[in-house]
Amino acid sequence: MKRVSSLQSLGDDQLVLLLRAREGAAEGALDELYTRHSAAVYGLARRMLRDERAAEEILNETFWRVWRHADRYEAGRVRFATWLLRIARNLVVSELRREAHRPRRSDPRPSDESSEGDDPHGLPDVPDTSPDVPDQVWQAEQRRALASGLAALPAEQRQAVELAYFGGLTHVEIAARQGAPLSTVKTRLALGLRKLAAQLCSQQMAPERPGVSAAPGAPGAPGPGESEVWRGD
Amino acid sequence: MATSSQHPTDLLAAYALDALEDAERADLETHLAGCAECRVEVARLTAAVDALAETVAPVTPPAEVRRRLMARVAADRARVAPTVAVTDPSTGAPRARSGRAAGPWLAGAVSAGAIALAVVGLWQAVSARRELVSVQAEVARLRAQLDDQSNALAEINPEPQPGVAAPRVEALQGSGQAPAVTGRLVYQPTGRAAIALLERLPALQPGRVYQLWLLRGNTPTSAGTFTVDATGRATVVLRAPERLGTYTGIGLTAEPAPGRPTPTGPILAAGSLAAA
Repeated sequence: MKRVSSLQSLGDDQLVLLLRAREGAAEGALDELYTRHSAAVYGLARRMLRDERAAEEILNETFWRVWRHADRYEAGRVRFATWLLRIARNLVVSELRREAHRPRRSDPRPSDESSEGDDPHGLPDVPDTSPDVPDQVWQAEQRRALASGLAALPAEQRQAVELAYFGGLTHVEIAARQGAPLSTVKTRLALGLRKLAAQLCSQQMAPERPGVSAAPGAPGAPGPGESEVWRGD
Repeated sequence: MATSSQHPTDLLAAYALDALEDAERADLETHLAGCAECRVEVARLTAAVDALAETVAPVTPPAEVRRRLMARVAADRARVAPTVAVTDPSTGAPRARSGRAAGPWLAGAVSAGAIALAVVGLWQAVSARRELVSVQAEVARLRAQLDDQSNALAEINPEPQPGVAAPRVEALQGSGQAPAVTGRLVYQPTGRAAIALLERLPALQPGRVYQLWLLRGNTPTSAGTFTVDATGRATVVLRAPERLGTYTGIGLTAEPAPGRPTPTGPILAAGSLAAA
């Protein structure tokens, strides 16, 4: 379809501008952003909540917030995908913490003690059917490298980081879960996260794609990373 | 890295992971406000936290979620910036023909819509790509509006069957404030959905919207707001809180955006509704 190919030629930041302008193209821009990023949001929400219906609600609410609050996205500071996944994770963490005051449906668990031991992500991988563009190759490569970096952490460190990030637990709660002193948990989180950060730097695989953050002072212009040839038509 | 006696280095990771208790977080933020060194470290750790999201394999969500989202967005759009008189002939026309009383008016709206779509098509052919995107999405938006109108129309004007009355059509007439305004309200007295077709509406001042009111005696109930383009025409879908047959009239005012709970402006057009 022509409409799709036209919107597909735009970068994420340009789509956000269209959306923000609330001109006629706004819904189309949201739809295109959804096409590109819904699988990442849904994958994250499912991983964290272990509940498909709840994850669908998070997905809906995440893109609804994009629709309502696109003006809060600052192009050039973070990639759109990063901003989006932060929204999704914050929504899930709020949900998990609200639920923590009620009997738990299912506790978030770190992968090594999960009953779904056949899969490091706790849920079966479903092939991503969105268009195969080089960006996704890059993301898949990054995902693989980071996942292996996470897996390479000492078990207690990885578990602490996963309980915090995916389980939405505070370090006090993690200490209770791990049966360790709070000071130990603080150290585990610090060591684990620092190693991941160092790995990002050494592999130049920080989520901010090189070049994107180098476009300051041009909030209206597409970041270079958003309009590279691989999006071209 | 400075020692933890000077900098709360052991808390920065937990902070980046949003894993601090509320009081600790507030204390740390106070420190961060005055400590560039720790802010740099938090930024570095936050990049690692952001990257964790991308260690998760994407999962294609059910198609239903997209439909729900886009319906929610379309409803938001309709509420914020309602309708222009465009109807798609491919779906609007057959339904319009089945309504006796409503027929000529709806057919008029349909042909206006056909012209509008043709103009849009012509514009597409000569516009730059950026404009093309905008126009095509506008068509998509209008199609979503059309769905809303078609649904309302289906409620008002169902396929003929025993026990279902033909829709009623009442006239709206401009007042002394806006004598040129004309309009029709198409509705089922037993239903809650109605379509108002209005013409020769004056352009609105910035920051103002048109607002329709259903009247029961002297008591007005808001029936929705809309704006109008240069054509001065509008097709507005109304959803009444109660059966339309229980109202005695309809009125139009111009109000400060986004509308008012009770009318403040003079009545620009009005019509009466027959009892059920």
